[in-house]
Amino acid sequence: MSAEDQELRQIFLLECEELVTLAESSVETLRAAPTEDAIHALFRAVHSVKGGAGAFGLDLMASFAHVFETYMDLLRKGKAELDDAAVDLLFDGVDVLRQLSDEARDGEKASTQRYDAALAALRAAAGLDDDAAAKPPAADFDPMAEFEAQMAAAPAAAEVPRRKYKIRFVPGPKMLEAGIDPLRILGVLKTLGDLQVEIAGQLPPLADLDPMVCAWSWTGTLETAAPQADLDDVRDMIDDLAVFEFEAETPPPESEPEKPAAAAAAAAPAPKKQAAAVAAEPAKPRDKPVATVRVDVPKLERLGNMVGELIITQAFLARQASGLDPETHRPLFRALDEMGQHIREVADAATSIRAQPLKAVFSRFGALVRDLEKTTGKRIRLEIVGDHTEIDKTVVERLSEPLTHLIRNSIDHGIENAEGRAAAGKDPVGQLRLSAEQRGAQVVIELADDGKGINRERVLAKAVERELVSPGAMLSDQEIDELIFLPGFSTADQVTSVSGRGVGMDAVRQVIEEMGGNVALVSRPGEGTTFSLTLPLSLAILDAMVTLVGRQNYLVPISAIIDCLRPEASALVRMDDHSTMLAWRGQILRILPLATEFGVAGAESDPTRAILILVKPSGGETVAIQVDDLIGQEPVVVKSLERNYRKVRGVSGATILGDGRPALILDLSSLTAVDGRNRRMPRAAAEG
Amino acid sequence: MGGDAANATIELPSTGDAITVAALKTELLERLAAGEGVRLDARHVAEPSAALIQMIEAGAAAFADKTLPFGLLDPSDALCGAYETLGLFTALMSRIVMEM
Repeated sequence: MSAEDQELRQIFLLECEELVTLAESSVETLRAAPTEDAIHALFRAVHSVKGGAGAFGLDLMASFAHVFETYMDLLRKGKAELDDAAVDLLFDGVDVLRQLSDEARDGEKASTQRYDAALAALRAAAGLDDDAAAKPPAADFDPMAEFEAQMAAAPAAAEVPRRKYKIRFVPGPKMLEAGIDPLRILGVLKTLGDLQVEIAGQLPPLADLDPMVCAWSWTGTLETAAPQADLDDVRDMIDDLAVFEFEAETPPPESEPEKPAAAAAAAAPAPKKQAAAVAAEPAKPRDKPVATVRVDVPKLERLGNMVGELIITQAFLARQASGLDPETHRPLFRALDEMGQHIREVADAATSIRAQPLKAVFSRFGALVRDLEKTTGKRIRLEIVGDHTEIDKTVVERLSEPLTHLIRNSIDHGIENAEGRAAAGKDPVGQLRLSAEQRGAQVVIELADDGKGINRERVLAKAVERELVSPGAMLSDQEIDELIFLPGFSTADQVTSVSGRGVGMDAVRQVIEEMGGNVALVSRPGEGTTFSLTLPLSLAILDAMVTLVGRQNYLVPISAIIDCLRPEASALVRMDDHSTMLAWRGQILRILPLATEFGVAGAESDPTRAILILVKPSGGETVAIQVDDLIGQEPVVVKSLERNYRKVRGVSGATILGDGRPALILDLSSLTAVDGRNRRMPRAAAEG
Repeated sequence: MGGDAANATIELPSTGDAITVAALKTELLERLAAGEGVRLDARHVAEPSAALIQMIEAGAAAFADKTLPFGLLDPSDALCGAYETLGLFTALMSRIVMEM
């Protein structure tokens, strides 16, 4: 395979991932409420996978997609029932397509057991004999021949009163290459009725004419008694290889066999869903495709780095200018403001280029939940909300593992079995809601179950047993809940295949915090548990408060700051262990002098002459961080300290400030963390 | 495909696939460079394509620019039907030449 072919194959495999994700999302929609759009979207996705797989010699994938598509065709024509078993079969089919796509991308071959089982089930459901199903769309695979045969075999019974459509057909540059001949598309339209077309388009000079690019387009009319679904089929066949638009000039007939009225669907008494009985939706124009371009990730990273350099330079200029009189240098300050605004816009644009919808990762959890249903015997309804929310590509790629842990944990430990739920007066089907939404410069992902909640008595007992907490420790409910994030903690009596290995929850927190995010949980006995993952939209740029400690600068993420204050002496509480704490709004807060934490000489030791920054890291208590002074707020570019030096406790990264000096960015969670034994001491003393 | 140098006749392929269309382009360009007119023997075209007809039409324009003769000889029913389907029936009529 030439380098160019190899590149095209890689592009197809990336597209294939997107198509499989789209297919899975369509099946999810079908499971919830069948719609024609979802059926067509699924058909188109599978069809596109088949076409691409055939073109790149991925015979196994092409053969499978062929059988899958055949079954889909029966469903959309109402010749097969879209019941629960069918939905399961569709899910299995999508899972196998994903597996085949992953294998093709990674060059690894997994077990064929799942493939064989799904293929056999689809084949049986599609009524295909072995020979037909096994027929691979090989190198000479002609997608048009199959389509022409399919259209020619359309039953006459499906005809409706004649209608006249205006049509527009503009082949795209890849159409001929994909083996779709515009002549044959027009030929199929001719078989549907009276086709009148006008050709348009200027042919290039002979020497410049690419034999594989169609330079023509067509407009015209088609008068036909065929149902509109046939035109939909033509559009599906062409998919994104061309523009094919049609619009009825004459009003639609009162009813078409393929599109029964919504009332008929509503009146259907059977619980099973008929594909033909899907809710009729108002006609809506297809979204116009947005022109896209694929860019190598290293190029995006270079762009991000350059934006980072711009931010540093801007901060440098702002610092240099800060010593000047704003009145006499008004134009300079205006230009600096303007430049700052432009740089922020460029930074936002660079961030958005890297952003991907969370659907890419969320869509995989349908299969996970179905697998866990089988493993645990529990029935679960997974609701996904806000999966269009976008976040940095790197975050999307790293989220899969922690979310998988959380989902496994919720199903294994949180949601009760059917008997337990019945005893608690709950719906026998457990609810799991995975949602995402953007809040300012952050994205919050929540996983909520309606299970039994955290068993705090048991958690505390386990923590004591494992010497993670001293016996008799006075911990709040929230603090007990937080114990599940301690390394090695697990309450599972048995190590199951689902969870209970005690390696999950601390890993979840670690991964999220490595990405600059945090994890929080709220649990209510008998009602369920909600995990909240808060993540920055961008990993590269952070709004930070620049502080001074001795002669060093430390940066505190703005998002974690609750308040900044210089305390009165009366607000300070001396503890038995000689430490000092802050009385603040009815709470007693630990004071954490950064000079002590990082061994900085020459810093202010008296809290009343220092500044206290009140922060609340994820899942932790509110803590007062003591610094000498506040310099100001600054957007900074996060650089990995680990990559350039080593991991330092309490530090999440480094940056270059506007004056060119390096500064450390605080990792508040690890900086303020105390283990259970230490936690007990100040609290006990405070209460004493 | 083939033909004589003085009055070139190019036999069109039975199938208008990518390879034969590319070959037709090469041959047309050669004849054009040699300043020869051509007749395309179209009697055996069984499976025409938009790409083939596009090449024929681009050839017709190129030969017309140089005022060189260009024509379709005895087009098959399949080719005539394809021209009509594409909305090029009038163009086809102006391309057909009679065998001398």
